[in-house]
Amino acid sequence: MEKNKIIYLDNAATTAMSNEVYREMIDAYGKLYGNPSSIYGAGREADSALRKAREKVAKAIGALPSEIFFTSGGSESNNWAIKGIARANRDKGNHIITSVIEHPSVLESCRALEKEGFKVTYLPVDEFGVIKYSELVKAIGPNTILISIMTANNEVGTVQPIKAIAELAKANDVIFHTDAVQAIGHIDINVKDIGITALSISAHKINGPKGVGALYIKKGTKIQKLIDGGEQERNMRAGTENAPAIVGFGRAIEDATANIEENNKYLKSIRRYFLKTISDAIHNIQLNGHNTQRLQNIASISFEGAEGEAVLMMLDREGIYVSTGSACASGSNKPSYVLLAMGKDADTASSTIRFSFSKNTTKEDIDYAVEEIRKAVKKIRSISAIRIYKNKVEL
Amino acid sequence: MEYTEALLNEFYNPANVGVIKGASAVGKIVDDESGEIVKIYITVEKNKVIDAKFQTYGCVPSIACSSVATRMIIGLTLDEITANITAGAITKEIGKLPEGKNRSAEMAEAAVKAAVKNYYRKAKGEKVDED
Repeated sequence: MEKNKIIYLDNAATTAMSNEVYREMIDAYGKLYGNPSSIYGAGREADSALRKAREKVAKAIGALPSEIFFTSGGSESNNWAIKGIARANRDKGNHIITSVIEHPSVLESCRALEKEGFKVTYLPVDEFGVIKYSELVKAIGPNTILISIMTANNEVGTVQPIKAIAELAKANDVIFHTDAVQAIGHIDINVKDIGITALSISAHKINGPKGVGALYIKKGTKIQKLIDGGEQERNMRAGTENAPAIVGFGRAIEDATANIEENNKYLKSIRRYFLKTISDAIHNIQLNGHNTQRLQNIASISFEGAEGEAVLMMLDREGIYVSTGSACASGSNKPSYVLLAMGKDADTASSTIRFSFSKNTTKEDIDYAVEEIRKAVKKIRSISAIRIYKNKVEL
Repeated sequence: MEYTEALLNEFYNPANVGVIKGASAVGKIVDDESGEIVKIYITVEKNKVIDAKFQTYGCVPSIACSSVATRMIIGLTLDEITANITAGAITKEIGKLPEGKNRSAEMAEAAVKAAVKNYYRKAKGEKVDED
């Protein structure tokens, strides 16, 4: 393999746009200049493209097109769902239930609501990153109006029992929102079959463009509008729609959900190959997350004694892009709250790297990457103040 | 978040990595929250540091700051170290640290100062746990 090749193993952070999406968007940028709200030809053309994209998003999750609201992405969808639903249903109660391992856009939305007088329960998770269902049952009370639990975790890939959560929510007449940003395209989700009231999606996680996503809101659900102004998005989110990006999103979600089974089969084999290769090459490593209730594209690994960010930067020099599970990379020295919530100590959490694959990741990529990871971990361990022992012998 | 070229150079080519067997003193700082550990070994002759090494479990700036700190203290007297080796002085050597990463320079300073303190304690005959 040639030197300086880029091996992108951070597909849970974002994905490269597919050629198909790119081509459709370029075409749309050229043609769809009209304002979808205008009644003349160019406007109608843009409006028609939005309608088709909305139908594709709806179909992908088993919703009605009228239940899909385009947003700027996952964070906006999560903010809107949580704040919009909580505020609109305040007459029914002021209690929200979420989990400690949610995305910051969920956690910070909940914290913002706490300042408005809402009460929030942050459910713990077990060592595999699964929420404790019994704690959820206990937490639901007469004032509970909303449960927001992610479909799959972005750091370790653990999938939550959302069907059981949805059933429990329904039985207690509570709204259930799920952040499905990491799960779409990896898990077959039908909002009607599962019983989901609101669901967040982002395009850039499924080979679509950045800056566009959607919120599914079940018909009849009370939610505050997000942006005042024009009557776009059925008078819920004002502002001229980004038609080319929405077209790209439509294509991306259509492609991502068309071959879930086949893609998962491939990703499972790549992940297995990666785990086998890395276990053979590097000692004293630990795999995080659930063995079976999981996404197939994520492998979270702790390298004892080798700090994650330091390993990441060694790999960066070799053109291998990965991510730490920690917030270290975003400017603090605190290790990942997700791993800490799973009971990992600070050392283990801070020595963790998240590898996330795509259908374009090859075994050859894995071979090259693992050899570089082995060298990087060895170098960082040689600097480390944490010494590694095996049978009382320092390695 | 942006790392300066000087910081990355220091990280990719750290100076004085390792242990000094029979060091005059060792300073070790552990940050419970982040799990980071900085360990600095010094050899002192006639009140002057003639050799220094480090072992650091920490992020990129922490490794870079430890490396800088060992380079800075070699050749200095213990009084000069006490007076001049601060987190600010270490940071200056590598340009600047990203927001929220000052802790890396503070830990390097603290480990150096702990080594000096341990040296004096040992000189007085006190028993010092240097693991």
